[in-house]
Amino acid sequence: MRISTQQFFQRSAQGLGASQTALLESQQRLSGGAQRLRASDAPSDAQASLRLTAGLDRLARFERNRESAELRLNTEETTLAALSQNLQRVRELALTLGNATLTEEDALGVQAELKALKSEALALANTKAPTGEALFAGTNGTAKAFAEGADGAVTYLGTATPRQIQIGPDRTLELGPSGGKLFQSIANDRPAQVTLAESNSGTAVLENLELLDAPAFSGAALPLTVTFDGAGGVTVEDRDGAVVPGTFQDGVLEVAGLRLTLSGAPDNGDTLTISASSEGDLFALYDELLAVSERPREPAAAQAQFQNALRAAQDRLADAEQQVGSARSAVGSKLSALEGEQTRQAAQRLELEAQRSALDDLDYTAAITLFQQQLTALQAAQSAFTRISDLSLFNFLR
Amino acid sequence: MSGLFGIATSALRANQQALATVGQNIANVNTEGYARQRLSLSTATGAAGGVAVLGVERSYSEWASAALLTAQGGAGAASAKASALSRLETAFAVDETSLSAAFGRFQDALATLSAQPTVSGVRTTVFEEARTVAARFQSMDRQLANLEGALRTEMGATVERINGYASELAQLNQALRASGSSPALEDQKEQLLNKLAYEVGARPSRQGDGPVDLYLPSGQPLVRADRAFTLEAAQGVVGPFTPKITVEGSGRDASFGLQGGRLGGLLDAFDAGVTPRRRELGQLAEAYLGKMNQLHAAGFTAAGEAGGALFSGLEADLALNAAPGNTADGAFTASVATPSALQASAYELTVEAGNQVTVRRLNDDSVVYDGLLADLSDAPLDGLTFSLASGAPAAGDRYRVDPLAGAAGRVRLALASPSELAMNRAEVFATLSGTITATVEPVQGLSAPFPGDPALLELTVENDGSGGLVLTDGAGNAQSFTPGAPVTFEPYGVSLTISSALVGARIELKAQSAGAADGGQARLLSDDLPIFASGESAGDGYGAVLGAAAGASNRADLEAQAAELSVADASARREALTGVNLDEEAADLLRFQQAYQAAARVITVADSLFQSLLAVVR
Repeated sequence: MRISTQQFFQRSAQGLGASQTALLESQQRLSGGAQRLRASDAPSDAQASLRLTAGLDRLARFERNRESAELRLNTEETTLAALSQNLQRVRELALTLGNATLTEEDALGVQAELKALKSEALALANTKAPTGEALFAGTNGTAKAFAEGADGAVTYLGTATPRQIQIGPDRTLELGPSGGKLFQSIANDRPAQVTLAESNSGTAVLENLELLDAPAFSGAALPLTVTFDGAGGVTVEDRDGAVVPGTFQDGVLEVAGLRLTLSGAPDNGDTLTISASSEGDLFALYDELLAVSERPREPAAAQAQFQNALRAAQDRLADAEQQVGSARSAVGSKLSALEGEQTRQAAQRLELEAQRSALDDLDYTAAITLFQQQLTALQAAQSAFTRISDLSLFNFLR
Repeated sequence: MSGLFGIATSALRANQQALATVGQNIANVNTEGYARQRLSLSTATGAAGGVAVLGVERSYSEWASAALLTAQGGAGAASAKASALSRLETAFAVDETSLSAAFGRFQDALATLSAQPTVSGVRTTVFEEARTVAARFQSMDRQLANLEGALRTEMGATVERINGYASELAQLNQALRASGSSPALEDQKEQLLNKLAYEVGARPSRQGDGPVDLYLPSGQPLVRADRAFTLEAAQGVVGPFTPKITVEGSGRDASFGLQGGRLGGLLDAFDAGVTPRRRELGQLAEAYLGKMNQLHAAGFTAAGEAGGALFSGLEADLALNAAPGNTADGAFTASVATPSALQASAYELTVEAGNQVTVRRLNDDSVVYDGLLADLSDAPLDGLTFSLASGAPAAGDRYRVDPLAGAAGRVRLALASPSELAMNRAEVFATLSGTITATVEPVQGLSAPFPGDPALLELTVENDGSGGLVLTDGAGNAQSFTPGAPVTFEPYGVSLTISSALVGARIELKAQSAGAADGGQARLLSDDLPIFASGESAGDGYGAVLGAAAGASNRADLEAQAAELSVADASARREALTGVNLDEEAADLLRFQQAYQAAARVITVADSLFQSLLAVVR
């Protein structure tokens, strides 16, 4: 084909320009370390990379949530541990109270310590989370979870529901357990609450309570009132005043599927109430023990009443210890759930990062090779151009 | 003897003229559009002999020139489109300044709020990030609007150039008719045709020497004989019935079928590039607003107030543009009813005889409604409710609306202060009536606020007609249930378990704040929520718009490269015939110089012959 002079120069200039543009783009890629200079270099890669970035952002969010959850759970754990030590000391004091050789001074010491332990328990229940709000106030965000009235009664200021925090794609964790549930609704596994009347003149002391026949017990119209006749006989009336069959023999009272073992001897007219077991209050426990410590131990009837009251308080103490213990293990399992999510998401994160890197990051080997190739091509084109453009017939026309 | 003189003289003249032609070619070696000239010689026919000059010939090939014109039209369109679309692409960032990054940071702030609802400053961060999302929507829409404006200005400039070239061509036609064809005029004509092909893609049906006519694809003449028709580009705000390019004087739409040339490329970039992306951005904005507002309204503020809308900007009561020829005073409006179901399209509403109305979606030309005018507003069409606002339309009246273009620019944060953020979940209370036992999950993140004021959700147990039971709210929402199994009543997302119920039993649900520092609604808002009916999230939506913009830019780039190659190829073919090659001219220069010298030598020889003869006579 015939080549016109103008065309030769134009085409050469275009070719050199295109080579230079390609070289500049390669250089930009190398200096930026990015595979794409603009999205249109590879639209589907750009879109996929955007999606991967959103996925990584999401994992980072969960990570941050996990961190703040962990901080909080650790605070919960240390608080509950301190509370359980507190209760252990209360248990020791209760044992001291039960000691027959307890002196007046000893009792005063126990009372002082119980008061101190109560205010410590209240302070622990009002512990603040790392973020400033009360740890056990649920979703209210108040500075205090509990307030103590002038009469020593403690009221809950928070809400009944915990907060939720997202720690994984399909995993939420409950944070900030309700203090009301934790400290003021202490569950127990006793079938019924047995109370011997304060007015009893006998020496009956409740030693043991068993459930023999659950259907029979659940059919009873509680509370049941048992009245002793002091001669080995009992009459039992239910809520509605109807008589319920019951036997009392050798200190064993069997009524409505329950077996109560009593020591000592009830007098005629002594009564005992069997009511549904109720949830306990941690703070009331201290007051209850204080009241027990102030009871007279003489005469025998008072001693029996003291024993009954102490025993009831010890039962509740055991319940509280169990409640705090299970709350601690719940915290532990939450912490291990965090750990599990952490491991799972770390693997996922690595995978996503690898994918994004494959899409976004420059393959330096390939890029440098290409750059070198383009450089060589441009140099060759430039030298070819100068050589050819020098060749003109006019140069030989002298 | 005199014959020899005559022959030599003709040869001298011819070669001198040939040298002049070579000189002309050399002089024009760099002249754009110059076609190489050759001297056409022939044996002189007279008895005296010698050489005759037939004339100066212009190297020209009709098919090579026509191929170049076609290639120029394609290249003009492709390069204008590629540069417009690459500008469009830059509006869609992929880095920290992108819309999806703004979504991400807003979600980050919400997640932090859900984890630490009592920490001061977290709320302010959420508030600021929400404002950033709104600002990002606005700035993206502004960028696209600016690009539309720039394209319109560029169209105006292109139209100016076309008008200039067309009037030059008309004058040239006049000159060609008056003084006949000449190489210089033909060079000029070919160059003008090339420029017009590049700008508007028009090419003459007949080529060759002499005057030419030019027509646009719509059949509109651009140049006819000595007359040029002036085009006009619409400026300012362009209504849906305004053509973008008109013929001055007649107002006729000249853009129909216009695909070639820069003008065609700009129109294409406008209609297939910028406008659809702007609509898609609007679609994304509306769907995002719909979802976020619904969830935010279902939450409660720290003060226990029910949350309202988080963002404002959901399109409502948009007036439909009436066609210029409408005969009656009917006025229609469109409002967004279901943001997740919106389609990125404009709509045309046509009134027909018998109070029938047709609504067409214009992007795929499908009919979305064909029925009575009275039933038009009963159900949303593609998530939009069309209704007759005032007056009565007449048969044949047409209306258009482009509900989503520019919608993103109207997104604003609806809250005045961080304290208005409703980030706490609802605590739901149920009042049962009739024969029913049911429990409601006490604290739950609702997905939509209960209706009415005071907000109250009343559910009734009904027969589902096939032996089962169904819960209905009397507003078209229903959920079948099996006693004892937990169910979720949508769209409120309220979870409840009905242990036993008889038909007619009712549940009345009320919601209040679950606590001042619950943060549970922030947790719901922080997730990658599905905002479209397809289940795609806002980030996916942005990715799709970005992908469309980048993909179009990528294809346009490739097209532009291909078009450039075909121009290079066509011009190489034309140049091969018409271009000046200096080496060739140098050879010709030598050739004609030698021939001239030879002819001069012939005269010397004739002279010496004549002298010899004289000497014999003397």
